[in-house]
Amino acid sequence: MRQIFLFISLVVLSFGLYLRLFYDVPDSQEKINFFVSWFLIIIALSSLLINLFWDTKKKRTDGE
Amino acid sequence: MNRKVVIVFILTLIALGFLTFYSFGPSSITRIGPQINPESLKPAKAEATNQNNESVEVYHNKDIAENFYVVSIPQSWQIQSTTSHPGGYDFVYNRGTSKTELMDVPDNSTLELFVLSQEEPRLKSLLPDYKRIDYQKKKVNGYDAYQLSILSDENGIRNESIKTYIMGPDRAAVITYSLPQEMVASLQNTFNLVTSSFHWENN
Repeated sequence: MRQIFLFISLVVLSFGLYLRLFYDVPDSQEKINFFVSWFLIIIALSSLLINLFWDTKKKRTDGE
Repeated sequence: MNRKVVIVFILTLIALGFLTFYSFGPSSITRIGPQINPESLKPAKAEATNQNNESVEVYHNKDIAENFYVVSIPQSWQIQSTTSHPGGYDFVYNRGTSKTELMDVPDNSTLELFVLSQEEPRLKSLLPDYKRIDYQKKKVNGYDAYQLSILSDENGIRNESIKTYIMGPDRAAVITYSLPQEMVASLQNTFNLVTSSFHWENN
């Protein structure tokens, strides 16, 4: 499950970077491109960080 | 819940809020997109004349990276700095106007296709009594160019517009001359000199 989450985050990050750096933006759509590309980059980076920090260790129960 | 995850989540929400304000807030128009470079509005100091022996002012437009260009304009033409736009100029002269601008051509199109399939229909719907009088492919300083001459009716006056679309490294340049039809012949030579003075600075 964690690997799938990581993979999706990387795909979203790549797409955001593509829109920011390589996509040929029509003059009238620069503002929306700016917003969408940074939105995807921020979401993807935070997803990666959450993935990194997420505690996967199972908590011990009192009975163990 | 993991404290670091909560902090990342809150920071993300703050960043998205800031991004939304930056993109669509009150002053977003002046920040995002091409800006006018003040240097572009100052003509080069050197005195120059064209083949008509008219004094010209040489403008170096440096507004949009990849599309810096040079154009020489007769000194008698007045620049309209209030209506300036990134990558272009507006000029007025006796009963006529002229405009240079940069035009975005999508990567999946060619300049000629764009002119014929997008620009001409747009002009047709915009200008009353539109009529194409000439269309030709030509070279401007070695660059591929397409010249469209049209007639339209403006306040009862038959107006002729000559638009030259010049292929560029990213965007295309468009030089437009617009004036009453009967005056075109007398200024044709000047127009040709202005158009032929155009060249890109990047390559």
